[in-house]
Amino acid sequence: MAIDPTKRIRDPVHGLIVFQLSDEVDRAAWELIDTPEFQRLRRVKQLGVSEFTFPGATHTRLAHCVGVYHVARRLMKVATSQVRAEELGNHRTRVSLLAALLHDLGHGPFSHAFEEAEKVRLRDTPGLYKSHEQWTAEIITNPDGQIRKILTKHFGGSMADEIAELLKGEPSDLYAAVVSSSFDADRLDYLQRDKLMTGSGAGGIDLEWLIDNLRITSVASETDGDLFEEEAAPITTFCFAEKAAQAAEAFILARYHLYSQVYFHRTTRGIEQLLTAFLKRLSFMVAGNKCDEICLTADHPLVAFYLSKQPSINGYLALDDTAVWSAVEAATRGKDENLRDLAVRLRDRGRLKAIEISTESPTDIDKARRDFIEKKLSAEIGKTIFVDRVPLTIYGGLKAGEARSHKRVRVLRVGQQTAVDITNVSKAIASLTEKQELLRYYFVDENRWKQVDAVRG
Amino acid sequence: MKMEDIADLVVDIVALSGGKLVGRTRLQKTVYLLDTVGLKSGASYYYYNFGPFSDEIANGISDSKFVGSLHEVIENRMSDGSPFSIFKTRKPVEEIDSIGRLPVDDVAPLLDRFSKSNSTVLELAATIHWLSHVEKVPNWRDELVRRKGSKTKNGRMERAVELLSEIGVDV
Repeated sequence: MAIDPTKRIRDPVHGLIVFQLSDEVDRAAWELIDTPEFQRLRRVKQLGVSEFTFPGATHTRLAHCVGVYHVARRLMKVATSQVRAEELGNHRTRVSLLAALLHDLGHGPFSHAFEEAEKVRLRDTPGLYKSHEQWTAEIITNPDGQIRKILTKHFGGSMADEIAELLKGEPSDLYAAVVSSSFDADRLDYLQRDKLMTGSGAGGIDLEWLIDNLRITSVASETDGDLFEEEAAPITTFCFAEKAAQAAEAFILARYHLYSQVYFHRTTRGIEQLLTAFLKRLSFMVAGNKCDEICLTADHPLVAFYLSKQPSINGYLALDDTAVWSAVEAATRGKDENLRDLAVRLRDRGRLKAIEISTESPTDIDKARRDFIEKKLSAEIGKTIFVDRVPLTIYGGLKAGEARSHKRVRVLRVGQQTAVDITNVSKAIASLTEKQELLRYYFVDENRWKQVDAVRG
Repeated sequence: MKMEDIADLVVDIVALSGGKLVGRTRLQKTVYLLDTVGLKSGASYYYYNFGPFSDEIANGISDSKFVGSLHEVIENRMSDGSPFSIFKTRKPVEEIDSIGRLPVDDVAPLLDRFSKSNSTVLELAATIHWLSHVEKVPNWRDELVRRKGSKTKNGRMERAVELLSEIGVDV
């Protein structure tokens, strides 16, 4: 009997990830991994500067994406086993699995720090700023790119557009739920991978029990409370059987703790602030034609990117962690004192002193310190004092504060038709529902920090 | 406009909405739609999950909660128990002359009009404006359906267009 040809990847989280080359989706996935667009992710670390705090966290976005594909195949089997055979959409399955593989193609180097610098750089030209999700869609559909070429070869001309639409749009069916939901493949990979690679004890997940109790439900797509009298727009997504309510509670708390202890670690966020300040200053110097002062030439990928107000896909794809670190190294030899100081700090892990303000239950000291900084030191904010505001919710860091409907964790009680939000069955989760915010001020000048630290109200 | 101005502006909008406004999405989209008719809040926007989104407005909400001029209460939806935010303020409307560059007499009817639409329609209206005026997507209707899916059904897209037309925004 002939053995199916396979390709295999050894993975620290999932063990052996096997690609059956007789399977059309696995075959295409294997080819996609070998494209320059996907290989760029090997040069982009998953957790950016978290390695400054957790030295083991040097895993890449490539490893994460392969892991997401592996988990998506597993989730898809569980999800489709609950659907009648005649309702199964084989084509949607292909779209979903490949979307899982490609979902992070648009991440830039040091994703958060880079995006924050971009928002400031493009602040006066609304619509030019692109999030990594928008870059992902453009890279997948790029008519000159390898991704579209391979997808077209295997599945026809519309495949790239369908994958981009699934990633960009509001998820509405179970195939989209595999890629984006409360229990999607992305989360299931990064929560395990980041916990393993950081060495953090936070975030234990009862994965097998949760998957075994995964169910499909229909929910309203709206998130605010005012559904009015009209019929709510329904979407299909995942929920958990009641038997897994406590495991679901632990899953949410695990995620919450990973955010608060790993992703939002004070030191990590401080280094991110330095990097954002560095990139902002660099882009300002480039825009002012001062490349000679920063020891970089116009063909350096980062300089070329900043020279163009509306960068091309190729310009974006040339960016990776290496491009940023080479710019940092060059700037340590440059004439611009401000940029040089930031670059040296980044190179040598020159941490910034920080003051953290409690926003939930501010003390008199918190209020006095914040007042002092905002009124007496306002001229230094953004220059030598960096403000970091991080929203923290039970669903992680959310800018809008309200999780999209399909991202909420729901529980299907025994004998009930409608799944309810987990806050209705878990007092622990309900108590964390209100949006919290971490507010930190980072100081380049240690004397300033001492001055603020001394404020007692 | 400075950060504290946006925080004040958020409180004033809640005050003029009867002292109570339901939902973060509604609050974000209310400021955005008022900006389309000349509010000049000073907030900068980018496209995010629910359409145009501003970090400055989100920070303004936090800032006004920090100083105690805005209160956030969490309630749960009857249908499925999903939690949502209700913002409240006791600021007297008599203390408010204008919001941003708009006189109170101009803003009040707009807020009244917004209160008659659910937040999904506000989200769609803001997104339509963003697609047609900012991203300048030629066929914004198709793009809206691609991005918002089932939210555009049941006449919601038409109601969003109607809302924009009523407040004088051309798409």
